[in-house]
Amino acid sequence: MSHNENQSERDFHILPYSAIVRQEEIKLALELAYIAPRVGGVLISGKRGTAKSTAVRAFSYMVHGCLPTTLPINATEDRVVGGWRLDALMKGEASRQPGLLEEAKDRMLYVDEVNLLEDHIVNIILDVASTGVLVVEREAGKELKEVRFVLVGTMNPEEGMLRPQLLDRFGLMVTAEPRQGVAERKEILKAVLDFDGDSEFKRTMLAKDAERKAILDKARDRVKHIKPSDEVLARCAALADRFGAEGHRGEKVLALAVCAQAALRAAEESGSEEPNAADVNSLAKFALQHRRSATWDTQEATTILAQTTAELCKSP
Amino acid sequence: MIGSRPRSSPGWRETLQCAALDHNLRTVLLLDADDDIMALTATHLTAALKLVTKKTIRTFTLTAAISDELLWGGHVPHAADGTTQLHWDPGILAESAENEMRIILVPELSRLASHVMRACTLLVGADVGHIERHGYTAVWSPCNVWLASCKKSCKSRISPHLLDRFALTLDAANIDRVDRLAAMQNFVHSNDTAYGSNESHEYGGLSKIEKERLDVAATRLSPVLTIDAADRLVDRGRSIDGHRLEIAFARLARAHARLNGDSSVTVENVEAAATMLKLSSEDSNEPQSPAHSQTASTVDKSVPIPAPQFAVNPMSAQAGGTASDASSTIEARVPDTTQIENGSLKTRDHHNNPNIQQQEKQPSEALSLRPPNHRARTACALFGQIVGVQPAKELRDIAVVATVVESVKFRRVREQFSEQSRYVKTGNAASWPIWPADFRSYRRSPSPEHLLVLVLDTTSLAGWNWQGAIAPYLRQAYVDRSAIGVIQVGQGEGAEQLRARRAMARNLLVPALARSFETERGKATPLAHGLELAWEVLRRAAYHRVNAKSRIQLVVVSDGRGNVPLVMSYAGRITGRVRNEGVEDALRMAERIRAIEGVNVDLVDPMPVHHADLPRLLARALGASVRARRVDAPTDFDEDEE
Repeated sequence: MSHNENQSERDFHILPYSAIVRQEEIKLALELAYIAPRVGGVLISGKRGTAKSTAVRAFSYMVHGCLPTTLPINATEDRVVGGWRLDALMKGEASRQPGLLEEAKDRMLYVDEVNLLEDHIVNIILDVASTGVLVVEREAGKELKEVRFVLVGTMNPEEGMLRPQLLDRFGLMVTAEPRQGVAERKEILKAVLDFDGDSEFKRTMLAKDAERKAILDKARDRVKHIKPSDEVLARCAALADRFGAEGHRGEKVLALAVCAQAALRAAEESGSEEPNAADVNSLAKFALQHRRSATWDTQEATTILAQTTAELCKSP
Repeated sequence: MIGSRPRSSPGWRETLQCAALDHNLRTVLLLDADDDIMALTATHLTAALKLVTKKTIRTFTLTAAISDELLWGGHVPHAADGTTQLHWDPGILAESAENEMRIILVPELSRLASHVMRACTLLVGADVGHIERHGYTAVWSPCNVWLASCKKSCKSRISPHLLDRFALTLDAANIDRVDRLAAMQNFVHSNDTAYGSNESHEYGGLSKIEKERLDVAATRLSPVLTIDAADRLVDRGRSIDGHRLEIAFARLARAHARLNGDSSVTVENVEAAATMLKLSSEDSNEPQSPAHSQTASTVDKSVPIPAPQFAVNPMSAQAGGTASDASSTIEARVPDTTQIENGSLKTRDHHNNPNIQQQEKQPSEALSLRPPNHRARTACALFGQIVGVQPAKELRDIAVVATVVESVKFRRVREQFSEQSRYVKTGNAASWPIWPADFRSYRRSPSPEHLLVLVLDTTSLAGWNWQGAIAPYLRQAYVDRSAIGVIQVGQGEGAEQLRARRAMARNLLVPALARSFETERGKATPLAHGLELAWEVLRRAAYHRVNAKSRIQLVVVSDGRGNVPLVMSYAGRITGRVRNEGVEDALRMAERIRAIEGVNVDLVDPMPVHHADLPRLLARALGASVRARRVDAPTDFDEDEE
């Protein structure tokens, strides 16, 4: 029985997506990755208690109607890549049990506390994420399958950062911020307590979730027809260069994310579906911050964005 | 006191009753609780839970180094109807039966092995639980109750990530002691275990009034929050570190209202909850959050040193030595940016609480929850990470599933053989023999037992044969197959100069390590940061030491002239005039290294012309037992006892 079948009958107490207070960066990143899966997933980094896991699960419930396929840190290799069904083996039948990488096909593969994952499991994910091919040669079985999933991870950076190769597999990286304002904190408390006890609140939020899903699905259809202009591409490359992003994945992800944002804007009917410079500037941090050796400095970033704009305006 | 009636503080009892009423509050951490207090708390909580949930309560104790199989569960073979079957035996942390509730007791949280702590971090207070092990898959909504204890003095060693999971933290000092004589008599004359009985007490631990009150409260709906109460919650909760605990505070107030029979959550309920959590009504420099109730007397008034941003696995580098492996050993990501504002440390990246008052607390010594690599040539090999299976040489650490799978391959052949052969008779045609050749054991990830950490102050390496000075250490590390850590101080350009760089390798043969020995003289000397990076590695290695013979060696090559204070290393820029803060920070970090047990420290003195006393000062702070002098010839190596 696959994950989703197993848990569809259960009622997990997950705050609805629309009830999550603020955390706009997380929401935007998850939405962009859903609209354009080639963006390559999201890493959500943040201090404890900042709704990282809640946001991911709530988002999955909203768009897929169930919890995401989750790779827990207690996972063994056979559950990650697949193995034999033991109950069938005991009857003398050879029946494969798909692993989590297959079960997450075309959907989200969620790794909570990704920086606590065992190294050899990380290596497996790296291999598959980079090639898109799952090769399993174990327990007298051999399989080769194409797998595609959106890798989403959450982590508390106090426990240590990821290896650079694994960091690079995440298309976007965002930070979950603790809310310090009185009004926001009150809003959070109210939302949680209302959800604990009030079924009307839950119904209202779920209705909002349904509306949001419709918009995201619309954007997902539109993004296929959106192509960034040469100016936008040039800006993506220039920013990747100026920010010192390693490799070239950053600028590609940025270009895809920009298209996704434009599609979302069009679906929300709040603006043009043409990707523009402002899109690139606003999403640069998401795509580039985890690909550079220096920490992201807001002041420095503002300067670089301005300088890049000036240079691009001058060039023919 | 002998003869006194057993009593406990009403606040404590009410707190536990509130926890019983709200499933989100059933994660309790007791500070400085001895066995008696743990037993008393477990008994009271058990009684309250049984009353509220009407479920059978079972108690499990989490020991320090419990195996993954006992934690999560595992396949167990058994014979049934003449056949061999495997059934899944759920572990302690697995989903409990429908009419059952589990209390997980943790006698001393700080002593848990790292894999157990990781498990706790996943499940304590979690909304969703997952198990994906050996063909078994489960997703459930955890409802286990957690009751843990921890000494206040050890609390700083526990990851704040884990501490944050406990909704309620109670100081055992506020719990009145029971009559010790009566407690001993009860224990001797009963069948109770140390932490209470596995059989439920029929309302044992609750008074008649409490029982009646809880009975009624259990049937009530949760009251609604009033606006005044919400304001008071936010006001009182401003000293609480983290939303999770603030939400727990709100839920406690609501549970209190429910217990009292109030129709809504009022300010009085909020104040009662604040009292239960010992929240101060005034601002103070001491953290008052439920999970950080210690450190009142040990506030560090000097420049605050935030908790280390990197938590490193000292032996995490992969074997193989390819370029991609090599790059994985070098931590290219720098710590979060911080800045100095108005003389106070303030974070910029929102990963730490920006409230300065909460920063001025004793630096956390918590180890990361990341899994370490261990290798041992002894019995400790049973505890390494499982990376595969291999033919078993002995009947230990058997991989059951792999063994069964192996036997399945030849089953048909063996059945035919058993029919033909006069030597092998299975007797029962339905039996399924497992032959010795089928047995598989786990192959566990090997890792070095020894560790060599080198701190190279590149600004003091010019003009003398420093390579010759460290050569003996490298030779020994090669022979021992030690893991290697190289920390470069003073390399890079721009902001990079202000931070040290650390590279870890599985052994000396990793090619990328050679780059770490290529030194260009820098202008800045972030010695304090370099020592802090070394401290992280050494502390972790000491904590996860495989056996007493494991060697952890630190070699510092420096003239002690650190000119970059730690705060500037974190900020990545020079934020003001520097006097001797860089040296002071370095000496302070050196003392922290000295406090780690089991680390051999040597200092190689470059014998600088200026400030020639600094290397000695640094050596003293490090507790270096051998101070090696600089050498000008490759083969000379003097040792000078301190």
